[in-house]
Amino acid sequence: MAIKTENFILNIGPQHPSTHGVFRLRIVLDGEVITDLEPVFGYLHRGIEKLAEGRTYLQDIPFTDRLDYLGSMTNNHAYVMAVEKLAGITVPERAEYIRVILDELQRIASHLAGLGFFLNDLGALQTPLLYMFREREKIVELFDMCSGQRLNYNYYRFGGFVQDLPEEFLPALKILLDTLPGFIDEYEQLISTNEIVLIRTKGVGVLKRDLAINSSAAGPVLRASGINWDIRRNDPYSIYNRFEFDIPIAKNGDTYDRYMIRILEMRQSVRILRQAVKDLPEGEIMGKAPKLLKPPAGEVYSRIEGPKGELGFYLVSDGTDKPYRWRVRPPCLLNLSALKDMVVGWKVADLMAIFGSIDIVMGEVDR
Amino acid sequence: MTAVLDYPQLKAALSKELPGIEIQADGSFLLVSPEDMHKVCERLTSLPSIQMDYLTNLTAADYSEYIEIIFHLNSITHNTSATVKTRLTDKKNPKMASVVDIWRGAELQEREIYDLFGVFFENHIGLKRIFLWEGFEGYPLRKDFVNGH
Amino acid sequence: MELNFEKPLSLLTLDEIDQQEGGVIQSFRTGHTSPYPDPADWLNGEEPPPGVFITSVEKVLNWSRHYSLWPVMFGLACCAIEMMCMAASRWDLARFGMDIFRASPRQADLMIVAGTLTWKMAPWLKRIYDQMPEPKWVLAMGACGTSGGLFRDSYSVVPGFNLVVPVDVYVPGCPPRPEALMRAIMDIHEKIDKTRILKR
Repeated sequence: MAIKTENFILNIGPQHPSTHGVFRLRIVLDGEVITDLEPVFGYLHRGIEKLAEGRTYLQDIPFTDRLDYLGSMTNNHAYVMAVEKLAGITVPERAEYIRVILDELQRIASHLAGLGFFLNDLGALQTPLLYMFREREKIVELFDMCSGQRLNYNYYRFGGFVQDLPEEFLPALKILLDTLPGFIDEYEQLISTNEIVLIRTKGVGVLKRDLAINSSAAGPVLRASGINWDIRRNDPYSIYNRFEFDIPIAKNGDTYDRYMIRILEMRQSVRILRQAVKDLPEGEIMGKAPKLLKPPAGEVYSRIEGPKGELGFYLVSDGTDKPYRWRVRPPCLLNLSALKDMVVGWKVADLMAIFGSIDIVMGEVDR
Repeated sequence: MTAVLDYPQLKAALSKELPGIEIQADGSFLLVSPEDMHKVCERLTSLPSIQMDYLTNLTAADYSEYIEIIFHLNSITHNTSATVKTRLTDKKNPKMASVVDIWRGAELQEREIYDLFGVFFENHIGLKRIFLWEGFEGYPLRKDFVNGH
Repeated sequence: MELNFEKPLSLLTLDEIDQQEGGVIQSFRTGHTSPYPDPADWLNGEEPPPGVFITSVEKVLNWSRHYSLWPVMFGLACCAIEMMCMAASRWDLARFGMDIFRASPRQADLMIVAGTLTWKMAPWLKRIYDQMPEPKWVLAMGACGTSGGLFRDSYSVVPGFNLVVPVDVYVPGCPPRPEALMRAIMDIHEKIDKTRILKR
């Protein structure tokens, strides 16, 4: 005698503790196994691309802060680099070194927050999150010293920076670089050999190599599937070709690999920071840039390796002081293109683990 | 360093494969007509010397006579990049063939272009608005849509 | 403002659900164009009501509500990170009795709305507010809550939360520092201390 069953549509609504912001998922369940998934975007769509066309290039820098709000310094860097290519502005040496220092500190802060939320979703209610936030506070204090803000820094300008680093910055940074590796080791030892984390993440949510390339994934998601592609190594920008660092690559493409890659990347960032702080030269920090910037007509696409993946800006200029087309290439949105293939066949509890390991920020998905 | 492909050479290789297609290769991009776009994209992924397997960026821009669709492509195996564009002159009903069967990453970006510009992509797997709600009137990123309404 | 259920929900396709929700959002947008008045009459002093018995019952009730406000998590955008920093170990929120952010609105009495509100999200904000039991308070965090902030003239952003829900305390800043948010919560505590049970 067969039992009559039917599929059940579950709505994981926009207000939810585990969705990293306002994100909605509609899943079709057969018992507890997921058979289909449809994401709904747009609950934070603020129309930044249209607003940016009505403001000058300098007034658009605060918009870039609010895209991926856990990684504001790298967003600023990507936009400022694109406009400098368009207008032909050169950046002095000291400013380039300071840019590398701030970018790598931002990468560590973003990975700390991402890993804290990932473990929150797995069920370790808030305890690892508070430890991550404690370390992140130390980095955010350093940023507060330079720019006066704790979250949306708005510190980069075309040609360098408008104010030099304060005197307390470098001694505080050196103290932080001595204590941070010890904390990363302690974290890895406590979490990575934990039985519950291993059972829930090894082999779960595999993203195969060909699908990762085909669905335009980038950043740690792409490198966890075995593809050796990092913009700092393959298409170097700024002065990254002067530093020695490794690119961690994993083999399987499951949730555990995506988590492990972020820990290894934090260690490599500390390595780059040590080299940059040792070689930091004196000098001026602002290149020659006109007060009212009117770049010549043309277009540019320039990209950096942000903490979530490849962040690119496509700008079209028509000779006036306002951009004609202002487009952000969002890494978080494209990392979600293959979400359905990663999740189908697993249960509802695994959905949160897989989704947390991709590490998205809704400000960038919806813009 | 990612090398940008030489566009006249690319035009010659593609014209040999697909005779009768009009391609322009002056400047820093390749310009193809909208009806031939799908065939050109298929060749760009399958020819072993080019092998553009990674779609970095797919976007659109609204000019006064046409809507331009821009593809930024990358090859992970050869570490090269290329820019391909097409122009849609019918602004009341712009449409073009979808490239979702070639690159899966185009799915969400084509939905975004449909939502914000109004370009219809044929043979897409589920073309509907992505950021704005059903029933929103107008296409915001076009130049004749004034903000605040 | 409800979805129209002529057919049962299990027979609707996902596209039809999208169409209906789009209709709800459009009608919500045209229906909410003027702001709710701010409930600010607690700032003017009032005479105490007569009776020793009522006053001590009020004191006990206000004391218990003051020290165990439970917020519902409604973090939308960047301000949510500062709200979480306030709940973390440096500016500890647990010493006020508010350490757990409730996920369900039925168990909460304070709603901290942190981030930019879009018209697509607005009907669901109203629904969560309606699901909270009385007495309840709303705190609008950030410049986006006061007036729409940096995104005021966009086509999809609500210019200020008081078009959708009545707001008790506004916190300016982009984002406000955790200390500013704590001052706002202490303002809500003052407001709770001055409520009277006989008139609401």
